[in-house]
Amino acid sequence: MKKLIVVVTLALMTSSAFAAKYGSAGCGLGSLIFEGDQTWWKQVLAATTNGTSGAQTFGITLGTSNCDSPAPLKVGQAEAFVEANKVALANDIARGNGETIVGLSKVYGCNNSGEFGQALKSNYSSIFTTASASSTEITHNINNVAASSCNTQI
Amino acid sequence: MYLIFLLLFPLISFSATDSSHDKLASSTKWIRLLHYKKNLISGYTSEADGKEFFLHPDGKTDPVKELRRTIEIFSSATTVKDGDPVCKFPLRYKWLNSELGMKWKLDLSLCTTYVSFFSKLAARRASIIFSSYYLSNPNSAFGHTFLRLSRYDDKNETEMLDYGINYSAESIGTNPFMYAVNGLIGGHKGRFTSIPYYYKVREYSNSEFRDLWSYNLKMDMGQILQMVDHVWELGHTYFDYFYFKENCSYHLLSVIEVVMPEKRLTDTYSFFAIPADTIRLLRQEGLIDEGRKRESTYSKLIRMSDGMTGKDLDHAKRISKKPAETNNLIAGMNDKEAAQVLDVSLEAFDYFNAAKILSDDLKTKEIKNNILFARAKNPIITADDGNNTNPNDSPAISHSPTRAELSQGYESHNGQFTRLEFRASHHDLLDPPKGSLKDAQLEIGKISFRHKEFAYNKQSLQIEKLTLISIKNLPGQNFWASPQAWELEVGAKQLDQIRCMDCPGTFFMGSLGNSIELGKHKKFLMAVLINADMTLHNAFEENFLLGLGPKTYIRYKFTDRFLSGIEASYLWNTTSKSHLFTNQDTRINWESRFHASESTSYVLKLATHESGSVWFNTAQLGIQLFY
Repeated sequence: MKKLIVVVTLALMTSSAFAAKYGSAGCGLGSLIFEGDQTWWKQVLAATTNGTSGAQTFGITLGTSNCDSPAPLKVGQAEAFVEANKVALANDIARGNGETIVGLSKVYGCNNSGEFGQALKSNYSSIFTTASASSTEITHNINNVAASSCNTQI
Repeated sequence: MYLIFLLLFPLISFSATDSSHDKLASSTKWIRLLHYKKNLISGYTSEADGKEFFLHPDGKTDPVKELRRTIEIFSSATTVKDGDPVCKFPLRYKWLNSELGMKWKLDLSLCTTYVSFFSKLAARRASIIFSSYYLSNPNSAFGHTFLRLSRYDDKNETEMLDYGINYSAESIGTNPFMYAVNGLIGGHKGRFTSIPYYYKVREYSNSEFRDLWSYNLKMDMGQILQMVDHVWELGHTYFDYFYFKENCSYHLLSVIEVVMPEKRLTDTYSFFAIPADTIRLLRQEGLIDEGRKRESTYSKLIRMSDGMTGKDLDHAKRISKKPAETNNLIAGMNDKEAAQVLDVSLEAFDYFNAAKILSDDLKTKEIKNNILFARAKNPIITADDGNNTNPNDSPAISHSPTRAELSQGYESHNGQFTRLEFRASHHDLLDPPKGSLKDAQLEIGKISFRHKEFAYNKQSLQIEKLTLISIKNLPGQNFWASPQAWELEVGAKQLDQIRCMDCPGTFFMGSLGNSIELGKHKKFLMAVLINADMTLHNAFEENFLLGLGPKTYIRYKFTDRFLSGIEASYLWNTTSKSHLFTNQDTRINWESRFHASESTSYVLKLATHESGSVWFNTAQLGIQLFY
């Protein structure tokens, strides 16, 4: 639970900070926290690069699109995900189930996407407060739901 | 930890030998890494067209010089930084290093942008994605393929977090004609890009309403990571894009070949590399699984409304058209019924308002909120959609697009004839339906010859018809949409008139109309169209003949192996001074096909055609071979 709070706090900090930098397109957000099973690629990278182990934070380069990208995991990714999947996410949350909820559970590290979906559904009106709510606001509202209901055991 | 071994394994297995560098330069791996292709006579040329892809000035045409220079540069490096050859070409470095006994000790983690790319993708699995045919856009009429890299092992649940690796032409300018011409002659630059998969889903599923098929590539972790490295390398160059051959599908195969040197994939294409065809090839090679379909918004809507009562459907449609009335309309329903109706109306709303929804239009979102809030208040949680894949629809099991036909026929007044036909690509309405276009036809490059023996003992071999392109798009009407049916055909054909035995003329044909599908598995298809035909030939008064008239087409699918179609048309033509031609043209063609095996079909055709109040009746029996 402690870890979750750290993650969520970081989510709030970084998402707003990066949002300012990249504008409302919501692309290119990036800040990473690697942990649990997600560290596999670091081992691989270390093994194949003869390196001492990867750095903790990276920018993005390849590709010309501003949208080419959020960082691999967590935090800043939530907002980019919400921005890109807003329509499907609203539908899924209203229905209480769906692919975007499963995706979001991964981003937040929730083990039980079913419960997370239920919680999101019952908080629908406090997540999508108005039609004009920005991705940043929506993400912020989802963070609140995740903090109180998401059963995470990272 | 085992991952490290998994990864190192393929590298270690390239046994380090004392073989000369020149021998290495002719190894399949090196040839594939640099995308060399054998020249017609001797030597090699790389398909990569960006100079920066090679370290030696002659690298594009000389694998040996390129290899020597590469080893020289890699050997002399003491440390690396972004932009160095080692960082740009990590797979070449890793492979050469293992071939040469791991003597280089450079730290690739100093290649920061490479490392960030690698970690951004964090790939564990790779799939090849086929976005279905899109006849409304000539650039993707044949469909499109791209790669998807997944960072989780879970079965398909987290696609939305994946990355797509896309190879496409950079389009310059908006003139569609020039775009097409450049596509044919290699005037576009093709590049690899990476983009979050959800953007691809939005583009295909939510905006163009195309289903996406994904096939997991059967590769081990080491191969997947090599593929990531190689995609990174390709990010530093471009290829001249050729619409028919060096296209998205071809270059995805070339990437797969790099990590599987034992497979021959791109060499199997000499002229056409059609997306569905490459998927078929990967299946034959055993490189992909059975596949899974992601429904477009439209397909999902059709499926969800399947089995609903007429009243509920009607309510769902009314809600999607006028969301403000949501609460009134669901007032008398129980929660379960209301949930189903609302689910369908949400999907329908997104379908009807796709453009506005995707552009984040505030008014549209406000209107949609009526449905969303009502749905959120309803306690029913929609069960998982599950897997709605019908394996019979998989493009991987579609028939081969190239086809030859040999038939023997008899025509009244003219006697016997033998007919030979070749088709380069792709599918017609009576071809085996599995995995192919639905209710549509797309043919490019078809030519037929007729060998006739006339009554007065004279023989002749004629070109009967040459089709450059023939499209028939006959989607059926349904509760939600009323799509237009249309046809387009350009080519040259025999005028087929009584006093003109060998008069091929150029023609343009187009028709517009609607079609319906009936029956449990949509076995019955009927289209009613208005048809216009223009034929150019100096036998006509103004050197052309214009015809206009009704046309109807009916197809019945007895089974996937036995199909029958009948087409009837009537044209009023502009009259002609030469009196060679009448001012009307009536035709009825009936054709049945029996698909005996994957590669062999039998065909029976009966046709009647009126010219100058004389009726010509034709019967033909033939065999078709798909190869």
